[in-house]
Amino acid sequence: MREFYNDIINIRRMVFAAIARIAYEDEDLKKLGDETYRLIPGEKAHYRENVFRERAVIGERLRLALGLDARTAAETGPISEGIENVDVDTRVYTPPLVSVIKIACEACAEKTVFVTNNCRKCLAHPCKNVCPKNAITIEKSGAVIDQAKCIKCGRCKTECPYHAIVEYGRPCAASCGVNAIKSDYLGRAEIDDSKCVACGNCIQECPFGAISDKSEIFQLIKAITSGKEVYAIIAPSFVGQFGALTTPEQVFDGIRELGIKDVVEVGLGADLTTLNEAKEFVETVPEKDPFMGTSCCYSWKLMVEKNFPEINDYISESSTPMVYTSHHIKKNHPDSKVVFIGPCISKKLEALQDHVKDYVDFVITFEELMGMFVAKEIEPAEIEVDGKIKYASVTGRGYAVGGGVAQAVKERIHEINPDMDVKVECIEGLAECVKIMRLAKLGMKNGLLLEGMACKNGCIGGPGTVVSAARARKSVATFSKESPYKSPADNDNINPEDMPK
Amino acid sequence: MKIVVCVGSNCTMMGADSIIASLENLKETILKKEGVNPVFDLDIEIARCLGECKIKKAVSPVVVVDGVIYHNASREEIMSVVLDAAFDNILTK
Repeated sequence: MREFYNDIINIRRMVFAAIARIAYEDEDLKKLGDETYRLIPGEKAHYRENVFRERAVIGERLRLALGLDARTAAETGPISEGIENVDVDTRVYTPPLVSVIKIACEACAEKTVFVTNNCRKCLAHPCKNVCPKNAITIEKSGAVIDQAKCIKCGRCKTECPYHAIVEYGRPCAASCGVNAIKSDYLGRAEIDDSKCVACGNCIQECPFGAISDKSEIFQLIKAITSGKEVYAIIAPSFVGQFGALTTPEQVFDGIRELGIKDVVEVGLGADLTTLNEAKEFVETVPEKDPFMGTSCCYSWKLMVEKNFPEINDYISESSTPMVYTSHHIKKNHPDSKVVFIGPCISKKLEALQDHVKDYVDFVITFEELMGMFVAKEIEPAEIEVDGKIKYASVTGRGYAVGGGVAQAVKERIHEINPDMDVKVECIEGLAECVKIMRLAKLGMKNGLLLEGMACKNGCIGGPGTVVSAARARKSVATFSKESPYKSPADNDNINPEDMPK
Repeated sequence: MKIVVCVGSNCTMMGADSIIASLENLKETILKKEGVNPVFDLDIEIARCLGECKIKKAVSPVVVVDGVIYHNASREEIMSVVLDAAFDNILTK
């Protein structure tokens, strides 16, 4: 969650709650237009220059939340256009997952060095003197940069004693670790889907709230209300996300009150990932593979696959915690539907993969789940619960925080072979991941266990989280210590035949 | 000064967590500086759903400052109420 972007975050969440309410109350989707008036009432603008644009943008958000594609102003027809295609109870959305809401994008300049009115028109004008392109002239108004000549080297900015020159770019593009954001013919942001790994950074960073992913809460709720047996699997980072007074057990009961049959911690699958990755590391590094990268962050995995095909084989072959946990459910309940609830949006893409799509039927984020609680007026903190949940080990629960995966695998390797000294490196943030993989490609990370996380702070910093990473970190640590299983190998929820041999 | 922040579902969704975080941050930073009224004390309490959102729609987040209810509370609004009270002795001198 981007901490100080309150209005944007609130708009996004109100939309999830609205769609969840519409789905639960079985309202006619043709009347979706009415919802824009309910969400943005009155005639005074609060966020943008006028209320009409606010409603138009929120209308597009409602469509994305239903799983429809983002439209441009040219394509924008009735808000209910194509809505019959998504009024179903199975997964419908198709890539691209992350798109720019063109009518909300303010077409920020790609990169600009700009003179502000701090300029004092000084005699010394060091800005002009250091400019290697002779792009600066001193005019009546002050220093002026000829943008056609400027090569954005930033020297003038450094030299100005009045800090009158600023350099700024697009927050979306600056936040993108894989350079997937380009411009369209109107200068608005455009995502290159061949590069995008759906980490969700740009969604969090755009100060105009102009980028969004698609949701499948509507179809999930339809699956629930149509009587399908839906099981939820919830990522380790869920602790502390649903109200400061809500215990993990209350979250589980709250989810059941939504009409979901039962809930299992994805920490269970995390334990299997740990067991498998530790075994794999011991068997392959360094004899067969020079190093091993963890496999649980899908954006990281996708980034390596797209950008570093030559070292892609060194990413662990073990499945992700989501996949192991969904296998666990479908084995016992073959006719059920599984929804993964997590902090992450790239899991929505992972769930479309051939080997995953039959096991994970829906993916929603914590924010989207929060919207469902609000729509159903469920107060998890007020539910009385008995007992403790115990699906995962201490280190399985620790997957939620950056460094947790490597820690889990390292501890497990130590159990298998106490003499083996494993060196780990944990990388947070997609841009950092790219840098490290460049070094890895050159052989500079040999022998290491590399944990890659596209989000800063790991999963608790994910784009679908409700609370700040700092608070989530504390909650996760407390819950992790409560686990009765010290080692993933002690976890008796795992079917013995699923244990790696 | 006693501040109660509602952390019910609606309020959590609409940013109660960020209000708590900014109040805790105030306590650690500005309120430790010189000039704060020595008798001033900030007591931050979190509460289960106060029920405000069930009476009237679209009021979250809800914060209660010394018995005064703030609807649609923003962190900047609540922080300024706190600081006005904390530096009260300077303002009245």
